[in-house]
Amino acid sequence: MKVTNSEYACLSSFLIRSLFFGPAIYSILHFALQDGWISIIVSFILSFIPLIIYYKLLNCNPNDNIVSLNNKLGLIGKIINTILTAFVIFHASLILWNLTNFIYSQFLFQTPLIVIAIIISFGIFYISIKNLTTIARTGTVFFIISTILYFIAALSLIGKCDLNGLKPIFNSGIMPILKGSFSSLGLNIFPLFIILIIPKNNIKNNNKIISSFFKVYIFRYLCMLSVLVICVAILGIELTNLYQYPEYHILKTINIANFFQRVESVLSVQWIFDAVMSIALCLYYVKESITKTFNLKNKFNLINIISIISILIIANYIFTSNTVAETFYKNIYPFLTSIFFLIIPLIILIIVKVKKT
Amino acid sequence: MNKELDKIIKHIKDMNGNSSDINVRYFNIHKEKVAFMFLESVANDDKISNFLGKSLSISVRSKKNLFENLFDSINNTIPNSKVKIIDNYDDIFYHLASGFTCVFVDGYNKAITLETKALLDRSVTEATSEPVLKGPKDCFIENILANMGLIRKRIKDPNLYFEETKVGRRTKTKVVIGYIKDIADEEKVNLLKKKLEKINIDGIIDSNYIKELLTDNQKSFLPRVISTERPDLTAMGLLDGKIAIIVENTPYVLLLPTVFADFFNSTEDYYTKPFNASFTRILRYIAFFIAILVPPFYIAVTTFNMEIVPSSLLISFSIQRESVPFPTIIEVLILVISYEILREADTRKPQIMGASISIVGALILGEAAVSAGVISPIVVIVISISAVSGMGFNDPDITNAIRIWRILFMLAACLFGIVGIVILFIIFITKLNSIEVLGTPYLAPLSPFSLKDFKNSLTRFPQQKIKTRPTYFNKKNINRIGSDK
Amino acid sequence: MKKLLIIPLIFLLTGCWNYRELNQLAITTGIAVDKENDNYKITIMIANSKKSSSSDGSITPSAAVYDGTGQTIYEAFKDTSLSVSKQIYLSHIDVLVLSEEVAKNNLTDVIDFLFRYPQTRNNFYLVLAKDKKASDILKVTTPLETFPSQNLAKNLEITDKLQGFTYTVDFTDFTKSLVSEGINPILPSVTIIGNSEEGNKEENVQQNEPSTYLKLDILGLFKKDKFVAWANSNQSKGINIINNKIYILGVIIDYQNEKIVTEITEMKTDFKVENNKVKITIGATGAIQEVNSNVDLYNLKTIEEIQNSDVEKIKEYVNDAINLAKDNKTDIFGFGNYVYKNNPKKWNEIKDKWGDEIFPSLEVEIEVNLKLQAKGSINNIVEVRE
Repeated sequence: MKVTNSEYACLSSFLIRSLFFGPAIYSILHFALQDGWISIIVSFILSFIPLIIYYKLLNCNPNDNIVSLNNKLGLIGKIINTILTAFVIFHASLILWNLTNFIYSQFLFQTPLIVIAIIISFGIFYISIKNLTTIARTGTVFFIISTILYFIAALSLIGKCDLNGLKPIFNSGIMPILKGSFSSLGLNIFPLFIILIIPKNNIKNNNKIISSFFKVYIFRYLCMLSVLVICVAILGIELTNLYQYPEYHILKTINIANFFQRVESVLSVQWIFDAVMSIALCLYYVKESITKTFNLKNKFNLINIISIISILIIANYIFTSNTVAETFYKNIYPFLTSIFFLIIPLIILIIVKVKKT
Repeated sequence: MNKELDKIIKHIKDMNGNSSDINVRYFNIHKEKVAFMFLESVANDDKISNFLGKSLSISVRSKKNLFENLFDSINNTIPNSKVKIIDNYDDIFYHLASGFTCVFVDGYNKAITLETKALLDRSVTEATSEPVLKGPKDCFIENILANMGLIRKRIKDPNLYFEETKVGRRTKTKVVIGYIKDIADEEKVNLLKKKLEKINIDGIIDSNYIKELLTDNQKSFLPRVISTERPDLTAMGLLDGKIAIIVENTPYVLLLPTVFADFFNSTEDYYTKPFNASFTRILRYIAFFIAILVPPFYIAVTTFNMEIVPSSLLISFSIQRESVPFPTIIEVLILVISYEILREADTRKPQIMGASISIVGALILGEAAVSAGVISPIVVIVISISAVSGMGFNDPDITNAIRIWRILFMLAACLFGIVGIVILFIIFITKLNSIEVLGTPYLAPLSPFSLKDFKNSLTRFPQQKIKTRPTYFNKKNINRIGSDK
Repeated sequence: MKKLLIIPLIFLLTGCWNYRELNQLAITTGIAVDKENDNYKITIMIANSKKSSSSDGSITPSAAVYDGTGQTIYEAFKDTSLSVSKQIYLSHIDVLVLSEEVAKNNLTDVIDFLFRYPQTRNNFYLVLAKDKKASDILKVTTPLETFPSQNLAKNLEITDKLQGFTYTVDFTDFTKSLVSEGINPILPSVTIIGNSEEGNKEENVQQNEPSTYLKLDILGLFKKDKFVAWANSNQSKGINIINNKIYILGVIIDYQNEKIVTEITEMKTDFKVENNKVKITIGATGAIQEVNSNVDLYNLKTIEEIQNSDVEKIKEYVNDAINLAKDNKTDIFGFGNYVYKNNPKKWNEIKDKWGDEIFPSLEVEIEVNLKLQAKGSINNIVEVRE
């Protein structure tokens, strides 16, 4: 079950971008207004802290993934594992909610939410029952398709950009920018923890991990930055804050030579790919963690079925209305991810280092 | 085996129920009884009289015996190139059925067999199912030795190994595995041999049986093994690191392992200019996706996501829809099924040139159906584009796979529109990625992404620039140009 | 095998909620909003495709107009759908016509509904209806296009590039200038020449010269979201010059009691606002298009004088436009926006007083650099000899 280093990097890039279209743009722009791009640059610099923690965890024991690492710590480790698994299920259901809300509000606005979620779950379930090499290869193909669609969208919109829309710079002050960076970190970077499910020895050429990972990481950051800048530059900050999914609405304005128009449905497919792949990765994490922690066998893919049904149920009933959801994503969720995906790994790292000495 | 001649011959005749084509001739040489037996249906009379008659008459005439016994003397004087000594009944009957003649000497429990096969095959002719404009036109025939010869004369490397086994309890068909020793991967060859040994079936009539039995653990609509009639394609594949399986009595040779991109390459690409070849290859990929995705896209765009269509086109579509009583999906399904029936009826006609007549027929049928108000004109255009794009491949397995996936995508589109197509596309790509033929991922070079292999798969660069063999097949002896590494 | 068992479940679950056949849709190409006794009256124009009994697949489409009233826009739409036998579909709107009353009072209601409805896209044009009811404008038939709304939209697109005193606004631009700080929107208007009753009959298009037709007219200015004033043609030209929306502009000057027309083909405007003073810099390139007087175009001094007169004329347009905006106390050029973007602290102090006090008292300084590049195909005037 080997994965090459470029496939590893592609899989991690999905986790970064899965919550970006929707909650992350919304929270960054609501906190930092038109200085959102500075927020993203600041969060890029700040993101080295969790990345170093994750890299050290990866190197702790090259044969173990994070789950078996925890199991070696005894009973505390098993408790930590169960907590982390539950939170990963929660994270996956949030991504699913975001995707179904997007499809519900823009494409199929008369279909009940639960039906949209069930249909997407079929695709996710099919990916998650395959083994890791298949998931990784599918990730490469989707990464290539996403990149091509992104370039088509960006190149058609760049002619309409008016950088005056980004002014006034530094109007809001430092605190809002930092708040925006924190929510960007919480929603985008901390979920990278889930990629630690692949042990280091299952990666071919694992001395080149850092270089290939960074190439893909910087590329995805530039994508996110450019999407934000294009949104604010074309629509203006007030209008961007008004729309629920501003990056979908600027795709509606593409009109090249009166021929290449009305393409927003096709170009928004890249977000469906991102969300589906990251939920599939979360399910893989859950399957690995339950089988290794409780020593069960995955007969008839029962664990996958149970986890996908629980994700469906949570995603359907968690938010009573849209406003509740938006406040949750903006204010509460970055704190939750920082606890589970930053502080707990830090604790694990400290315990492991202490045990080694 | 018995020692007495009469008992041997009686046993063999009883094994075969006294078939009418067994012929026995008795001799007396130096007062020892000698007999030879052959099956008239497969053995050539002239050769028998040529070889045996001469040698036995020499034995009769020579007074001096150079050898101690008659058996050895016959054995050493038969002027035939293939002579074997056999000592059990099953093998004797196998050789008799293959056209050999068996010589029995009274008092010896072994038999001498020599090859005297009649020519029951056609000669090497032009390829009928994979035509090529500029390039060699010979193709494989039903004779396994001739097939091996057509390959051997193209690759004169001593490293080209041919290893033979017999598969099938009753047919005992000869199956030959050919590979170039220092290019092909050892593990794959051993894996293949083990799989062939495990086959336990009573008869192999065609190479397709072997194809199914080798790949039945993964279900997929798309083909996973190339079966070709052309020796030049086989030689190219062997040089790339593939393994060829030649089966007796069939002109179709299997090539393993294959990737998805191999079904889009044809030998024609190497016989024309590289730029034209690249253009044609990219066109084939586009044609594949057009054939699968255009009818579902039409259904999705006219029923769920109408905002994709510009206003004037949408108004014209809706005018056409007014006159049709069925929902869109039923309309498209009617046309697809009638097209498939027409295509099936056409291939059973004895002449293969009739394909163009069928397409014209389908269009006229579409015209009449439009005038009657059963279907709308745009659906005829959509299905014709999809059908014509799906026919540009030289392997009928791909065309059959296209039609199944097309129907699946249409069902997904009529249930959920563009979102349904996207989800089914995700499932399609995952399915393709999970296929592995002898350990090679199916979507290489796209899926374990390697940029240098794109030179020969998506496009064709000039021969000087394709410096290495495909890295997803093998890792040794990579260089094509320059010396071997 | 398990997968095959799940597939029949799909067919049980779905009722294809969003599945609509094309012939069940009423494809709306134009909307007109009027106000009638405190109720909204919505008129929609549908692309009609009647079922034909003949076997010919080519039916010419025609347009059908329906209307409905209600207290809110949503109710008015629902009222409209009571008379239409198909489902109203709003993704292909070409144009939205507003009457003056709606523009004066309730613009945000209309905009809010169109914003929220997920089907509408944001690339349709908005126009005001001048002196007539909006529904009448939508009903006028025209010989050039099948649907009057398409006619209006294409008219707007073409004249935007050729005239210089109309101004094409699509929905995104309009809403952007509505919600942005320091800038107020403008809309073009359209009016009917001839009898509006005759306009919506077929006979109108069957003559060579239709007796009733639509004509694009002057711009309307808004303050926040209320319509306040009309601009005449000179003022409209000035507004377009400052907003950098000129593609081709014709400048007519008097020279030696005859008219000379210069056609300006490139115009670029920049402005800076500092300390209650606005400095506008205009760079333009033009060519002499029509000479009606007896001048000698070889003479350098003549060319210089023509150039100076052109510059004066352009300054006159700009000054007219700014004076109109100042009189109505509405900043439609974006001077406030400029202050906001470059000096946000100062904007925070003065933004409440901008529209009413500071903007009308701004000093304006205009600088025009005009380059008369060519004289057309011929060098001098046509001299007529015996």
